[in-house]
Parts: sequence; C-alpha cells; structure tokens
Amino acid sequence: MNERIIVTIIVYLLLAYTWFLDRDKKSRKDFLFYMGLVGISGYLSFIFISGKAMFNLDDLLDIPFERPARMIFSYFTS
Amino acid sequence: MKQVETIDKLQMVLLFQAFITGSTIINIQGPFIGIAENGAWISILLANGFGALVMVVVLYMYEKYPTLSYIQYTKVLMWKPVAYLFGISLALIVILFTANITYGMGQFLTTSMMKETPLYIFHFLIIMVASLTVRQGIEVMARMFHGILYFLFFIIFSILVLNVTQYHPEFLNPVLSIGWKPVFHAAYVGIGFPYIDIMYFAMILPYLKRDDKPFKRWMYGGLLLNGIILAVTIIASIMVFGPMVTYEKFPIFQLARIIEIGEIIQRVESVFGIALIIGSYMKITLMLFIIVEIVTQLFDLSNKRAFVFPLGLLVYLFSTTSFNNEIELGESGLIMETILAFSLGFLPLLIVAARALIKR
Repeated sequence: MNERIIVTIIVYLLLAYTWFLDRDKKSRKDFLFYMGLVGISGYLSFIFISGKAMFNLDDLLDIPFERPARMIFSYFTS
Repeated sequence: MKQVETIDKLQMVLLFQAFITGSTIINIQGPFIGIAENGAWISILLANGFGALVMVVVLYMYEKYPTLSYIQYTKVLMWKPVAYLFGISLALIVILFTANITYGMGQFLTTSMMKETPLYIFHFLIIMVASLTVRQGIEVMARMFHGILYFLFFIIFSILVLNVTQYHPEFLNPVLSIGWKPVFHAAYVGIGFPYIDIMYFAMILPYLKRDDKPFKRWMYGGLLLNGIILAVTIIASIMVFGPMVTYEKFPIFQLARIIEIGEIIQRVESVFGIALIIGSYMKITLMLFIIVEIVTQLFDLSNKRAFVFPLGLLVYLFSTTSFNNEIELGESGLIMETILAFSLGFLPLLIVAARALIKR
C-alpha cells in the first residue's frame, strides 16, 4: 500500500508541475473542466490506494452491454 | 503543440501503420490461436476485411470534410445533444481501450520478463512517456515513430527469419479442425481489436497536409500489410509450436526466446521484447492523443496541451483499477470490446456518414 501511495504522490506532483506550466493559457471553462478531471482522478486514486472493488468505468459500460455481449459469446462457444 | 500542425502523406501512412500494428503485434496471436487454433490466420484476414469497410466510411467522410475530425463533422451534421452523446460515448470507449492496452503491455512485462515488479509501475512509466510525447504534438510523433516503426518491422522480420530452421509446415494442418464457428468467433474479436480502431484515426486525418499525391490507396495498402504481418506471425507461431501454441500467452515473444543460431545469437528475447513494447508505446501514445483531441474538440476547450496530463492520469488510473486480474482483462477484451466498439464507435460513425450522404 505504501508503494501505491508514493506512486500516486509522484503522479500528482507531475500533474501540479504541468498545471504551473500551462496555468496562464487556461480559460474559466478549461479550469472547471480540468478540475472535474482531477476530481474523477481523486476518486480513482482512492480506489487504487485502497484496493477496493468499487464502481468504475467498465462497470458503467457493462450495464447496457454485458448481457448482449455474453449472448454473442455463448452463441460462438456453444 | 503548435496551433496548426500538419504532417505529410508518408508520415500519415506510417502513423496509421504504427497505430494499427502497434500493440496488436504482441497481443493478438495468443487469443486468436486460443479461439480458432489453426484457423486463426483466416480469422485475422476476415477481421482485416471488416477493417477495410471501416476505412471506406472513414475515408469517405475525410473526402467530404478534409479539414474536420470525426467530432467536428458530427457537430456540424447532427443535432447538438446527439453529437455530444456520440462524442462522450466515443471518449469513454477510447479511454477504456487505452487502459486495456496499457494493462496488456504491463501484463506482457510481468509475465514474460520482470515478474516481481508490480503492474502499476509499468503503467505509470508508459503513460508518463506517452503523455510527454503527446505534449510535443503530432509532428514530433510522426517524425519519431517513422524511425521506430522501421525498427519494429526489422525485429519482427528477424524473429521470423531466425526461426526458419524450426518451422514445421505440417503443423498447419488441419486448418479447420474445429470448424468455421471458432474462426468467425476470433474474427468477431478481431473486429473489436484492432480493426474498429481505424475509426478513431478519423481524429488524426485532418492533420494531413493536402496535395495531389495518392493517399487512399496507401492507407488501404497499409491495412492489408497489417493483416499480412499478423497472419504471418500467427502462421509462424503455429509452425514452430504446433498444438502447444494454444498454451502460449505471447507466442511472438516465445518465438524470440527460442532463437538459437550456433552460440552467437541466443537468449535475445530481451532485445526483441523491447521492440515489442515500443509497439505498445506507439499505440498508447496515439490513443492518448486521440482522447485529448476528442475531449478538447467536443467541449471546445482552448488549450489542448493542458489536458494531456490529466487525461493521461485518468487512463493510468483506469488501467490500474478497472481490472483486478488478467481474467477480467481477458473478459473485457474478448467479450465486451467488440460490442462496445461497434455500438458506441462504429454505429454512430455510420449514422453520421448516412446523414452526410443524404445532406446536400
């Protein structure tokens, strides 16, 4: 777990560095969108560090598509 | 990233080749042979044929709107909420598939070379390098991948040639030992990865410097070359390992491992492994570039460069958290990927193309 925290800190330090590199060029809309992405990353970082199985992007896409996908798979493997 | 960047036709064709062959060269043989056994090479050619259909649509739209990307002409042609729906769904699948490719590359390293190192270290390093490359822009990527691609092809060619004494053509028979159904199944998987990926390339095509030189035929030629390369690597793997090939996760790497020419050329798999990882690096970089293009164009964001690292971070975190083990990755790739890519990627493209066809 400690290693995961260290890697996550390094990742966010890099992000902060690039933020300072580009800080003058962002509009208000860009800033809000940027913060939205950082917010989603924060949630994913929590999942990554804690190692818990929580709701993720693949789960979101599984909701409408898992059943038909498995039907096609069953057809090919039956 | 400059405001207006352009690349010439040769660079575009080579970028396309890097994009389509990139990570497939490591990942495709194992699953294909696992499903279709000796008929896997037919599956890849069938999937390649479908790839040509995708390319027909992509190039038709490019001819009609040469200065616009997929997101931009979708916004022009469709009702705004529909354009956003198509764009967001495309962004989601491209992010997920890039995470898949990153996981696949990490898995290749941890199962074949560096077994004690945690996966997320490889994911972090590859995404960081890819993000730095994307920040430099398409022109730098085109120049850089030009040389790297030749190196990759040289390595693949060397793997195939240096194993020539190990080939047993009799292992190729019977071709359809378990019938046509598994062949079609593998082709179905191949449609999702890598051949629907061709439509994501519609985000890069507007960077092409336009002149009168032929372009479309080179793109089709590149696609055909990709099919032939993958089919040949599958055939070579079957000819060397015979029925045991179905147990190999990365047959092309195993081919590199068994090379032994006297006492001079042996145990060269690490060098060959580096070349194969470079293939994945090119693919991940181009996918990340496409994600940045999709997101910034969809939401009209002014500074593309600023979004490279947050989107790279998102891909990195998805790659480390979406799959708990390689079985989940396998399910995502073999069961989910085709239907997701078809429904959320290719079908919207067809709808947009149909709209362009009827619009005067």
